[in-house]
Formats: sequence, structure tokens, C-alpha cells
Amino acid sequence: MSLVVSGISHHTTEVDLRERLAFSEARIPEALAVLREKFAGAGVVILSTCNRSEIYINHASESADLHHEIRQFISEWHEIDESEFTHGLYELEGKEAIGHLFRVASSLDSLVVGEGQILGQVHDGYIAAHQVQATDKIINSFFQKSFTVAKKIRTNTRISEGKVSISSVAVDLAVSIFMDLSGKTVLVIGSGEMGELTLKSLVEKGAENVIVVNRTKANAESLASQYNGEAVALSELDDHLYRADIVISSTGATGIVLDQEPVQSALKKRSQTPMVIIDIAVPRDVETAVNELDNVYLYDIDDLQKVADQNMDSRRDELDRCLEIIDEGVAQFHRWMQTLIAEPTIVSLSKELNAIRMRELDKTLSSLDHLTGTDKEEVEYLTKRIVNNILQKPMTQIKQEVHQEDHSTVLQLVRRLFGLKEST
Amino acid sequence: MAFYTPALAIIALLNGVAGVESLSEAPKQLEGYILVYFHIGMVFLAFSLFFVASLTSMAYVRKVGSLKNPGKNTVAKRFPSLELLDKNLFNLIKAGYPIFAITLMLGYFLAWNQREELGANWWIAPRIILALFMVIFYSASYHIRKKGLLRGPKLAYAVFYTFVFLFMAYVVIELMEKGGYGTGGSVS
Repeated sequence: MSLVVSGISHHTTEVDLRERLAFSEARIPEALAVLREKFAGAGVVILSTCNRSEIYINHASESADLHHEIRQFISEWHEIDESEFTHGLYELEGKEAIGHLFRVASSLDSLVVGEGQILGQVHDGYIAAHQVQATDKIINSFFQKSFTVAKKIRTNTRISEGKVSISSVAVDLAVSIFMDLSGKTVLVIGSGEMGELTLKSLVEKGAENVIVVNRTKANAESLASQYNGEAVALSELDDHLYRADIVISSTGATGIVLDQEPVQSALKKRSQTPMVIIDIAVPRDVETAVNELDNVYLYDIDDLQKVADQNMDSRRDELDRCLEIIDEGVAQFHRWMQTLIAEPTIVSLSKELNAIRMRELDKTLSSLDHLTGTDKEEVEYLTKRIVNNILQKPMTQIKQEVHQEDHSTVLQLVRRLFGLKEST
Repeated sequence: MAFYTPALAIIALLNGVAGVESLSEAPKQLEGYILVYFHIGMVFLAFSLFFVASLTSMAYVRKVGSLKNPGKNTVAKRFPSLELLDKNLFNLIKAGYPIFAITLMLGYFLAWNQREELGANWWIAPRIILALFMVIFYSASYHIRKKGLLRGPKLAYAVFYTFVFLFMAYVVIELMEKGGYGTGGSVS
């Protein structure tokens, strides 16, 4: 029995090859069916995201054969010569394959370490396979365990703490200042893409009022209408600035758009209530002296990038703890898989002894006609208990033996001693 | 709440020790007055609120520092939001200064009744002058902030340093044994 994974990711290939080897969501069931036909009785999952395409298989064949067959399948399915992708293909088996999925699900293998999206993608990949009955007992437990490990990592470490994108860092800083964004007013100057993204994140976090300022009022209106906001011309900025708790500036202007004086008078009008100014424009829109004012918190693109880098560094610092959790999970799952090796022997042994029990019980009961129905049940129950007691210690011992290197000798010996048929 | 746990533990300890000590040190002339217990209890309650307010003000200042320099990795990053610290700070003062004002008036009432025994100059005892200053300062800081005249780190600094000054002044007065009320002669 082999558990293997073959795949490519952003670590091993360029985007153009990843694009060619990606499985479209609509065709995944078809691909699973082809693989199931190729490997009868196998458990199969295909995981395909923008950063990776992977095939997980559990099958009775040797792992080398499985890898070879998967390579052929990839080549045929994507109509691409093997030589074009084998350089970036990783082929893992056993503990390495287990550890790989656990790292992927925990987003330790992601482009942005600690991001939360990958767990959902792994889950979707597994569900897609499960729905078409392409999974087996081991694959089911394998993926379930990967979700458990990933959740444990997210709960027990700080791998997903601290935002690493510019817009989410800006939102985090705003949340560090304001207890709650509900009821807060966001004023957006300009219509840069990053500004819109930050506005969207702030609104998602609860900011309710939106004012869009643009050189011309007409340009401001289209963005404002998306958020039920208010459009204002740039010339009227000073009149509306005091209403803003959060200002996002992302214009294409070459000079300063907002200097210290209007901010100071806005602060007076708003009784010195704190104001956050996020200047994402390059060159900067807001005069740096604005940050010298009390109750004003000005962040430019460099500040935000610094925080994002710092958060990424602290995520990396957590890697050792995450890997410990993964190693522990791999050991547990591998141990569980090993116990499955003994299952056919244990089942055969139990069947054999129970067959003997039933045979002898029938013989004995047929000569004891005087016994009542209840007495016969008692005798049958007695034989069951005797067999179960006899089996208990050997079963425990067999389960322990499978973790030893020479476990196949022990299993063969048990089979020979009790005359059990070869396992299937 | 977790943020305030250490401060509350310190208050419980100080009140446990100093509160009982103060009760035993109340002027002999006021023995038997039940209002004395209220007076001292409220003084300690107000002090506790001001103590927590001063810690909150320091946390506020540290938080401002970390927000002004977001690249620096500081403990203050883990503090509650600035708005919450500000709200807590002024709620503590809002609760503390009326309690202190009421207990001060109660103290005056007690002292006036016993002015014969306490001496003519009881009202200029250093402890009372400091208490007056305290009520004026906290009441002013609360109303200034409420009106929006001053808000933010400057006011937070003022709250912190004033508490430190008042606390040190009380310690010095007690050490110099100048805290008693009977610093003057009797009313003639």
C-alpha cells in the first residue's frame, strides 16, 4: 500500500508551466474518474490552485510505479511532453507525502506564509473527490488529519497573525486606533486602485460613511455610488475634511494635495478626535509634517510596507513551532497507517477462531437438547467471551509489532500458525 | 479586563494594607464617627480610580508612540485600541473626581464639627491642600477633554505626571509627619 503525491508548485515552476498543468474545476471529476480507472480501488484527490497542481493517491501498487503512472497521466491529460515538466515535478511518498499535505494545508508552503485561503482550497479539493467517491479510508483520514493539523497550527501559533498586504495593514492600523469602525467616516482622495482596495477592506470592517473626493465631482460619483457615499470635488476638500475619521489618499498628483494647515483646522472642528491618514500615493499626497500633529496618525506606503514586512518576519519566526506540530501530526498519522497493515491479519484471525467456535458450539448444542433457549444463549455467550479473551492479547501484540521493522515476518508467522489465507 | 488585572491586584494589596492603617490613624477626636469610615473608604476608592487612570494614561502614551512609529515592534502594539484607552481613561476620571469631591466635603464637615480639637489651621494641612488640588486638576482635565479643548498624549502625560507628583507629595508629607490636621493652635 502506497500513499503518494506528485505535483508542481510556485517553488518548482514558473507561472506559465503552472498554467498549463492546472486542472480546471469543471474537469476535475473527469480527471478523477480517469485516475480511478487507471488505479482500481485507489483513493485520489486533485488539488489545483493558482500556485500548485497536485495529485494525491493511495493505492496497493509500489510508489515508483504510481509516480510513473501519474507522470503519464499528467502528460496525456494536459497534452504536454513529460520532459517539459518533470524538472519541476516533486514525487513524494509515505511520511514525506503526509508532511507535504500538512504543510500545504497549514499554508507553510504558500507564497504568503500563514494566509488562510489555502485551507479552504484543500478542503474544496477533498470534497470534490469525496463527492464522486474517489476517496478511500486512508485518503479520508489523511485529509481530515491535515485539516486538524492546520487548525491546530492556526490556533496554537502566531503564523496567521499580523497582516501582510498593504491594504490589510492599513485596516489593522485603523483598528488599532478606533475601537470599532462602525459609524466611522472614510474620506477617499483620488481613485487609485490601492485606495479603492483599502476602502473596500475598511467598509468590510464596518466603516459606514464614505466620502469620495476627486479633481472633478463627476469622477468621484462612480466610486461613491458603489458605497452609497458622497461625491465631493477636490476644491471642497477642506470643507469636508473634519468629517473624516480615516482619510485615504491615492491620487496621481505630483505635488502635495493635503498639507498641515487644513488638517489642523479640521482637528479643531472635530474636537481633537483622532484622525488616521493613509497616503498610498507615490509621490506622496500628504505633507509629512501632518504626522507631527497630536491626534493625527499619518501612514505612507513605506510605513505600511514596513509593518507588512515585520509581520511576515514574525510569521517566519513561528515556523519552527509549526513544523513541530506537523512532525507530531505526521508521526501520529503514520502510526495509524501502520496499524492498518495488521488489519487483514486481525480480521482473518478473528474470523478463523469464531468459525471454530461456531462449529464446535453447533456440535455441542445439538447433543444437549434438554437445555432451554436461555441456557443455550448463555453457553453461546460463554464461548464468545472465551474467544474474545484469547484474541485480546495477540491482537494488541500484533498492533504493536507493526511498528517494528520486521513486522511482515511476525504477520506471516501468525498467518502460518493459524493457517490464515494471504491478506488482500 | 486582562489588561487591568495587574493594576487591580496592586490596588487590592495597597488598599488592604494602607486602608486599614489609615483607619487606625484617624484623629482620636473623630473616633466613633461612622462617617469617618465612609470618608476614608471613598478616599481610597478615588485614589484607586486615579491610580488605574494614570496607568491607562501611560498605556495611552505608549500606544500613541507605537502608532506614530508603526515600524517599531513594541509591547504597546498589543495594548487595546487608542480609542478604548482614551474612553477608559476619562471614564475613570469621570467616576473618580466626584467621589473625591464628595469625600472631601465630608471631610470638611467632619473637621468643622471637631474644629475645637483639630486646631484653627486644620484647613491648611498639606494633606488637605493636596486633596483640593487633586479635585481641581481631575475635574479640569475631564472637562477640558470633554469640551475638546485638549485631548490626546499631552493630556495623558498631564494625568500621569500629576498622579506621580501627588503620590510622591503624599509620601513625603507622611514621612515628614506633616499630614496631621492639627497643625495650628486652637480656636480662641
